[in-house]
Formats: sequence, C-alpha cells, structure tokens
Amino acid sequence: MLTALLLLQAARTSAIFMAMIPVALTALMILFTISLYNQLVRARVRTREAWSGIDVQLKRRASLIPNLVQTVRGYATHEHEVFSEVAQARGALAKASGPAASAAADGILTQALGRLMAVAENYPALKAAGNFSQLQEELADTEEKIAYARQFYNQNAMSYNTRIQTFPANMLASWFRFEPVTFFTAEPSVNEDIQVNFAKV
Amino acid sequence: MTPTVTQSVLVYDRIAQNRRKTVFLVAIAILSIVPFIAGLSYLAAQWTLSQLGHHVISSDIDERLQKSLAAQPPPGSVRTEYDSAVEREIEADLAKIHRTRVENEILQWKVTIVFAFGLMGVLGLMFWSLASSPTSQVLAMCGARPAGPAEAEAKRLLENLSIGAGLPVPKLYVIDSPVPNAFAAGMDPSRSVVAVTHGLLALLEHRELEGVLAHEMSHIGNRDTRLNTIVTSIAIFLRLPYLMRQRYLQARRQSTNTWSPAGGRFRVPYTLALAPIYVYVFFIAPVLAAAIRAAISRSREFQADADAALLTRYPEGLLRALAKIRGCGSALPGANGLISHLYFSDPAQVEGLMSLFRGNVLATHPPIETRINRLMEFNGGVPISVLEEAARVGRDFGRDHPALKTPGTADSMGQDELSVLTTGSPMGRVHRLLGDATVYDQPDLKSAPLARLKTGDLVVVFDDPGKFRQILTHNQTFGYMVRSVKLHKMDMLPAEIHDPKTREAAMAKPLPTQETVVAHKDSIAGLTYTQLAITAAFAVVVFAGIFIVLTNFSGN
Repeated sequence: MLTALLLLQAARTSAIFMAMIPVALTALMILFTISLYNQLVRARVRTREAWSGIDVQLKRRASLIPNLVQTVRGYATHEHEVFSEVAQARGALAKASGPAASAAADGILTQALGRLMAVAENYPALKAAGNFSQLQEELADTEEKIAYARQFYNQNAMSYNTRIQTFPANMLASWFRFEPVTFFTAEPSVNEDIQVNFAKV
Repeated sequence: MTPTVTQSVLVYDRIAQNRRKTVFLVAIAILSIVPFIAGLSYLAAQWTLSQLGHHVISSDIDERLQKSLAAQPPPGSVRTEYDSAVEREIEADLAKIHRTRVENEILQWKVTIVFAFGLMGVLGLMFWSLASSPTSQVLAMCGARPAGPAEAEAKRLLENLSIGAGLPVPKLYVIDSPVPNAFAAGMDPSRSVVAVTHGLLALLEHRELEGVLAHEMSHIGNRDTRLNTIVTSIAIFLRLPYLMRQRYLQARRQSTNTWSPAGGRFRVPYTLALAPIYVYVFFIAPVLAAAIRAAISRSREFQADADAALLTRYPEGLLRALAKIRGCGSALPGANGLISHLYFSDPAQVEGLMSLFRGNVLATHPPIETRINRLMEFNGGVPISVLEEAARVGRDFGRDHPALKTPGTADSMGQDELSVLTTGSPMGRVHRLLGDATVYDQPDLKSAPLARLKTGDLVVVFDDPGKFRQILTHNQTFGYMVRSVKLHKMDMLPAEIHDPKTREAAMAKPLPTQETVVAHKDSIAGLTYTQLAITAAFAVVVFAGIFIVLTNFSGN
C-alpha cells in the first residue's frame, strides 16, 4: 500500500517534471534568440559607427582641398585642367553614398590629387611656400587617417558579415533582414602602381 | 603576389593560441592561491594557539603518563588502595588530555578558517589599492611629463592608430630618458595613457615609432593593464611573506640593534610536519607567483606584437624598432619591477648570473630575438641585412647616449615591489587653494615668509605628516603652509603646473564653492581614510572572530 502510494507520488512529480522540461527549453530558446538578436544589432551598429569614422575623415580631406587648390593656383595659373578635375572628383565624392561608391569616388579623387601634386613639383617657389608644405602634410595625415578608419571599418564589416552568414545567426539574420555590408576597398587601379614584385628582384 | 591571406591566418592563429595560454596561466595563478591561503592560515592558527591557547600540552606528557601507568602493578597482583587510586587518577588525566587534544584540534580548524577569510580579504584590499592607485602616480613615478608641440609626430601617430583600433585617443607623455622604451597604463581605455621616452623618439623613424605605439595601443585594446593588475595583486599577495621576511632580514643586517618586535617571539613552533608549508609559503609560492606573472606578461607581449602587426599592416616597422632597441638596450634605471610588464621592452637591468634565470622564467618580456622571430613568421619579406643595419644604428645610439638615472624619478621606488604599496605619491599631488595662504621657510609661523598665495592658486602638496603641509608653488618656491587652508584636488601632474598654458587653463576653471567642498582628506601610507576605515573594520571583525572562537572553546 505504502509502496504503491510512494510510486504514485513519484510518478506525479516526474510527470510535473516532464512537463516542465519543454517549458524550460522554450524559455531558454527565447532567451538565446533575444541575446543573439541583440548581438547582431550591436555588430550592425558598430559597422555603421565605423563607417561614420571613414565619412568624417573623407569630409576632412574634402575640406582641405579648396585651400590647397587656391594655393597651387596662386603659383600655377595655367593648369586649369587639373583644377577642374580635382573639383569634379571632389563633387563626385560629396555626392557618393555607401561604402562602394564612396571608395570608388575616393580613388578618383586620390588620382586627381596625385596629378595636382605632380604639377606642383614643377613650381619650386610653390614647394618652398610654408603654407603649401603645411597643407601637404595635413593632407598626408588625413590620408593615413582614412587608411586606418578604412581598416577599422573593414574589420568590423568582416566580423559582422561572418556573423550573419554562419549558423545559427544566419536564420535570425534572414528573418530580420540583416543585410551583409560592402567593404570599403580602394579601386584596383589605384593599388596597382604601388605593388612591387619581390620575386624578380 | 597575394600572400596576405596566409599571413593573416597565421596572425589570427597566433592570437587565438595566446588567448588560450593566458586563460590557462590565470587559472594556474588562481589555483596556486588555494594551498597558499590554506598553508598560511594553518601556520597562523598554530602560532596563535601556541601563544594564546590555554591548553598547551607538551608532546611527551601522555607518554610519561602511559609509562607510569604501565609501571603500576598488573591487575592480577596484590594492589593497595593507593595503587588503584593512582591508576584512576592517571586514567582520568589521560582522558582529559585526550579531550583537550580534540578540543584544540577543533579550535585550530576554526581559527584556520577565520584566518583564511582574513587573508582573502587582504588579497581583495591589495587588488583595490593597486587598481585605485591613479595613473598619474605611475607617471610621476617614472618622471613623465605631458607631450608638447615637439612631439607632434608621435601624437598624430597615436591619433591615427586609435582610429584604426577603434579606441579613444590616449594621452601621450614623455619621459626624459635617453633609453628607448615606452609603456601604456590606465585601468580602462578611456582614461589610458601612453608614455614614450625621449630616446625612443630620437632613435626611431616614423614607421618604427608607429609599430611601437601600435604595440602599446594593442595593450590598451586588449585590456592588458587590467589583467596585469589582477595578476600583479595575486603575485604580491603570494610574495608578501617572502618580501616581508626579506625586509626584516635586511633591517636586521643593517642595524646593530638586534631587538625587533617581529623577531624573537614571532616564530611558529617548528616541527617537521610543518616544513612543507614553510617551504611552500616562503620559497615555492613567491617564485611560482613571479614565474606565473612573468609568463602571463610574456604571452601578452607576443599578443600585442601580433596585434600591432595586424593594426599597422606593416610588421617591418615593428621589426626594425625591435632590432634597434635590441642593439641599444632598454634597461631603464629606476623602473619599478611592479610595473615592468607595462613597458614595450624589458626595463629591468639584468647582469651576471641572474640573467641565466631571468631571461627565461622570471622575465616579464620574451627575449627580443624571439619576438623578432615570431614577427618574421607573419612577414618573411624583411631581409636580415635590414635588421642588422637597424641593430647597428641602435648600438651606435646606445653608445652615444648612455643610460643615466632619469632626473625626477624617486630612487626608492625602484627598490622592491612592496614600496609601491607603502609609499604615497612621492611627487606630491596638485591642489587648488580655497583661501589665501602664506608660504613659510620652515614649519613654523615665526620663520621667514617666502611668498603669498591667493585663492585659486595651484600648488603641489606632498604627503607629509605634521601641523604644516610641505608645498611647492608654480614658480618653484618650496615651503610650508598651515593645514587650516582648504584645498581642492586637481587631476593634474605635478610637472604640469610649471607649464604656463596648462596652469592658466586649470586656473580659468571656476572654483568650487565652500558648500561643495568636502574637507580635504589626507592619506596615511598612501591609503585614503575610507580605505583605512574599511581595513580597520575588517581587522576588527577578524580579530573579534578569533577572540570569540578562543573564548568559546577554551573555557572548559
């Protein structure tokens, strides 16, 4: 009698216990999903923040250009072609939105600035001007800052893209439409002229 | 030609491997505390009971009783009344001794537990005092000054690197020493600083300096300073008995007076059974602690090198910098061992026999050759001749700029690890006056007044007990000021008040009104009153615990 009662009791508790398991599992699943979602959002915000870091530096460079052109124009009055090219490239960069377009516009601007600097080489008086060398230095610094900001952005973009494409985050990412972001990469044509082949040396 | 992929994989592998190693070492460090606390509290309990316990039993008393019991006539023989009375008495004594023994044992375990909790509290306090010691104190210890316009290049590099690392820009400080070295400090990235020596700026070129600064940025980004604070507090804790013993022995050697309050009676009853505990507490634990701390620091150095290579994407700069520093040497006289892990390259001076040992087990930095080899794995493209040339440049620089003692550093700070805990800020702290004051030549109102200070002036105040404060004014007048003048603490370095620009900027800020000012808190031995109060309360609780245990279990 007593054993039967005990068995019944045990069965009842285990039944309650069995019923609890799916509930607990569901709760765990929900918690896990929430934390995963939050992590994805955080990663996306981080890439946006990193992108704004590039944007700030690009704007800074763009704001240096009018001064630079003004200074060069003071010495080299006949190089209209280069000036208009730089102005166009600058306008295109200001209009460009998104990493890919901005990177392309930035590449074109870099090329135009390179030509402007090459023109400046022909005017020794310009090179000697204190204002010009200061602007040149600032431009070089800003370019370095863009390079670093680009690296930081690409790193964040890589980790975010990896996240939303790997299991189990990829399911959540497709439900909530987490799109992969594009990398900020310089135009291949810009890169080519600085590549050095050591194999032939 | 695209070797970048395989390169980065290598860097990432190395970083993951370093992380695993660090976790493993931290686990060992924490585990090694357990036998230490157990052993030390057991020893302390033994000592307390031998000094204070009521029932100290000499070890051979029951043997003697047993013997005399055996000497009694056997039960079968003729026995007098007296014989049986003696036998009963002896048996009663034996039983009593047995009871006392058991009681003593229980008592000892209780005292051990109380001591163990006390020791854990000490560990916590140690971490607290290390973590709360301001970064400016570390900087002042090294004689650092804020970077000026002459160091614009390094400042700009640091700015760029922090963009790349996604961290707030750390403040840059300069140590006027010809030895090339650098360090990062600060408990969290937003308040961290990077200090470089003058020699480093002079020796290294742009890309090389970038590599070194990237290494320091990686330390900040990896939160190495925080990890190292935890590890260092564990290490000091484990080394505390050893260091105190060293100090005691040193003091005894120096003084002709052999009496010491700690000597003589401060001896745990020494038995063979306690020997392993002694050996662990005084010999194994200190060495183990130093070795683990050094191993963690070494693995973090490799990590920071790898991260720096990843951050600059130009390992050659860092490689050349390492080769140059290898050629020149990086031993900074006056650098304290406690913060040596923060430096770019080992600041400790290693000579003679110790170098055999220090080079491997106890060094906070891996040998530069090993660091160079590891970096070469990521970038095999650097020809050896480039590194040899860099090492030659470094050697020449080292010959032309011999390492002298840095002016302005406190000599005593270089002594041993304990001094960081016990000394206050030897450089003084910057305060603003909240009232007019007169600076006297001597700590005496009758002595010659040297200067008059107005409300809002900046002064450096030194930790000095007495009725007067030792102060230094912005125009280098050194003197004494009465304690009744209220002060407001500033977050500045002592050296900064001599710079007109920063001084004016600080003095332009509005003074706090009398209501918002809490009376200036002095500190004793580098601890604030809150810390002292909590320590005292803690000590009271521990001793009350011991007292209760003793009175409860030794009465009957």
